[in-house]
Amino acid sequence: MSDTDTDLLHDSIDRLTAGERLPAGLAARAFRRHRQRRIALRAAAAAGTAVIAGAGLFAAVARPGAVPAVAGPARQAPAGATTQTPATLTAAYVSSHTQQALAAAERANLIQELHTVGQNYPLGLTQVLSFHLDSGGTGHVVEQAGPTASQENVWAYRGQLREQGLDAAGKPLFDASSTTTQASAGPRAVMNVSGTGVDYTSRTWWHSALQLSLPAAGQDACQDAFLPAPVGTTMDWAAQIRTALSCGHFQLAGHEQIGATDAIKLVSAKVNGPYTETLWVDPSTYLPVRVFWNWLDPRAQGPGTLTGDFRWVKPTQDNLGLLRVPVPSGFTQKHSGGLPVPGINL
Amino acid sequence: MGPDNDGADDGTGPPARQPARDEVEQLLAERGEHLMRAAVALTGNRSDGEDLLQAALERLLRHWGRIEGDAEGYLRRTLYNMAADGWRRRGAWLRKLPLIHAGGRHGPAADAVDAVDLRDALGRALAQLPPRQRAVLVLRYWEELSQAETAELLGCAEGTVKSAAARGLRRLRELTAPWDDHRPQLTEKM
Repeated sequence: MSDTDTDLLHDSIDRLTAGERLPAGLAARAFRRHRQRRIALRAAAAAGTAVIAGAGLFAAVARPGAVPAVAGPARQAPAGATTQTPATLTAAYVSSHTQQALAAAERANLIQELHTVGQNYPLGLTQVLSFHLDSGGTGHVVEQAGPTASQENVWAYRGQLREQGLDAAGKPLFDASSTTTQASAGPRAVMNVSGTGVDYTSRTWWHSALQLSLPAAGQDACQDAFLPAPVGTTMDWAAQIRTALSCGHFQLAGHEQIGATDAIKLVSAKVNGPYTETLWVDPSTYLPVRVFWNWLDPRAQGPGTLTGDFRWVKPTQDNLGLLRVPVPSGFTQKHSGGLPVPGINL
Repeated sequence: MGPDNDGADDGTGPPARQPARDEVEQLLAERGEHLMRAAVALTGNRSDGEDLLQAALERLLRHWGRIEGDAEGYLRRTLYNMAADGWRRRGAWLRKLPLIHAGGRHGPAADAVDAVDLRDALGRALAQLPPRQRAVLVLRYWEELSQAETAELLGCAEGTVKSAAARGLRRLRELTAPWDDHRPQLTEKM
């Protein structure tokens, strides 16, 4: 190889990195995270002992013939759940029943309704204007960021998704719906997605369609399931929770009152980067009632959190209407809008 | 304990020697800029580079009491190995969105590629390579390490380095094909 060739690449990297300085506070942040991690590990070690002790307590309150619950009267098992009564209420038992309940909800065609509230959590709308894969399998995208919301309403039902972004006062900022159909499976799943977006900040709306190619869930499914939040058009909150449960990502952490429900609480069983996740399930149905993500982004002012409250509703004519995005009168139709992809703004 | 192993200091064993703030500050004062530049080269942009360097630094702090040899060498090895192993900002969930992240953000400016210098294009194309190829090219052509030194740092065989470099260069040629008339051939250094 000639010196000229070597110099060319060297110069390219030199040029790419020219002027880069060590960011102020990097060491301080690293030390802070290091301390937090050590504290968390010590707390986790202590909590592990508490969870084991708690499991013993659950065993003591479980009665023959009843589905074990954390507290309160005996409750009916969810549809599709086993009727066998285990000796103890374990994380595996709750995980298994919650997975079955979510599968049953899907079979029963229930609409997932979720209301999320974020703190330092950039819920936003992105327009994907174009997308293609090159010969090396790398995706290229042209996208445009839209408004960022502090809370969202999400409805999902059989490949249809609607996400409505609101400001802290509940005023709508964006509204987007999409319908996804899988065109092919394999190492990369190809999906056709069509969507409608409404941007209240610019008083515009648009239709769009796009073909997406995404890696099929593979060996990283368990790692990928442990996410700060589902993102984008093709994501399914319930499916993600099912996968996370099947991967053993949760352990029991007692119970807490969520609204009128004395819910079983499950927490992240292991550290996964900056994310922790907590899930509360209804002991009578084993369906999730609340999920909470905590995201320690080192660049954020504080920890980002996202709290999502679930409802599971029947697909009546009125409820199916929730999946449609209304276009307010007076809004202008854009003809160059991209596929609306709600999720986390980056 | 190698830099790839993240299992040390789980909070349950005997306490490891904790890093002194001034030692780390001194290390960063002396070598921080070079490490930051390496991190940017490995990730393709400042934001991800900053996150990568911080993650490597956190790993250094965790393993501080068990490091044999110089801390800078450990930090450097960790940085490159994390990058080569596909470390990404914000963890695994980004893999859900390869459409948005893997290729970077190509806006309308992509139409004006003719106006961009070949060196800039190579720098951007580097970010599109698989992480291990990128790490090998940065080590070989920017850090100017030999094949043997690169292999030792990344904990792999020399042959692996050689093939990764060859594939990386070939891919760079493909990605920067519009400049074929304006550059010398990129070939593997022996």
